[in-house]
Amino acid sequence: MIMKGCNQISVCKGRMSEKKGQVLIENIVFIVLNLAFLSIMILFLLKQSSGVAIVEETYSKQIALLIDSAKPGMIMEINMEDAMKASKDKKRDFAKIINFNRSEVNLDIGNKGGYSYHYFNDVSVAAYPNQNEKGEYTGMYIVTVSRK
Amino acid sequence: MRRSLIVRNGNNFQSSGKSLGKFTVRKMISGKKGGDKIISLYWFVILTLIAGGVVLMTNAFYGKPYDVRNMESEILANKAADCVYSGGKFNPELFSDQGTFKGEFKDKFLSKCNLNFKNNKEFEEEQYYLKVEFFEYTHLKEPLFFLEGGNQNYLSDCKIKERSKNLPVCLEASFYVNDLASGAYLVKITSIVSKTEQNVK
Repeated sequence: MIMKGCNQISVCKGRMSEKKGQVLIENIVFIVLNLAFLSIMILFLLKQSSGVAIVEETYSKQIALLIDSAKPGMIMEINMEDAMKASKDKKRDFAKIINFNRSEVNLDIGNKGGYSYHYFNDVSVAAYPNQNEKGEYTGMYIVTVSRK
Repeated sequence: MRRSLIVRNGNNFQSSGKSLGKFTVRKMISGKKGGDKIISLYWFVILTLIAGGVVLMTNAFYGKPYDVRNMESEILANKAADCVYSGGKFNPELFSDQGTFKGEFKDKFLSKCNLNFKNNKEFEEEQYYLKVEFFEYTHLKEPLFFLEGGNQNYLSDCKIKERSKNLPVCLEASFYVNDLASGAYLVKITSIVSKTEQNVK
């Protein structure tokens, strides 16, 4: 092998060290870009899994099924902490996210109409959020089922 | 004047006929500086493809609605069972004083069992169907009496053997009852829940 442009070993070594510096910076930039890509991907996945639409659908179906299996006189306490966090992010009052209208339960967190699901149990339903002594929401919702 | 460095066997530097010892030399290929940049471009294309694939898969997974119809049909069947028979006795409104089934109960079956299948949306058909059949213990081929409510069109969909998610979910449950006053019966409940728009994408 003939190394052109190197008339002395020390010059060649100098050029080699310059090359080593460039290689190091390139590798660091490459790793940083890869890490940025991975972190963006993970953030995207986390955001999708806790999306408002999914929370609305999940809770409205859960509440509808609970009402279907309930009998008049029952009082149910439902853990809706995820919905409370989502309503805080969307600056929506937690007490107003659940509505009942003609055998349909509607959960509206994102203020875009929400998600409705029909229940076949012909009962009268009311819901209100549970509050602690300080008046703060605990994340629990109380659902009462009574005869029509 | 530049001197060229001659390496033999990759191990010896020799200059002007003098060996300078052993060095490991990195081979420098001239004119290939742009090669690294081209490789990184391919790398980002691959990353973009991976990102696109992940986004598509995520949307396919989280975009799919939860299918709760199996549970819903079970709850409906349980509700019907509790309505016609509970506490070891038939519903007293089901039988007349003569011990026969009341037609009035059949006419108002859904309201008597506190069931509401009506939709809030106009022009949309009912999404449920419920049928309760009573067979005499000694004569199981034909029902003695039956109660039904909801959309009867779903019955034919339940007979299709190759089940598709776009078809209504059908559940058949049966139990024996022995009421001292009324006798022994086989009660067969068929509950069907459609709601394909909200449970199937």
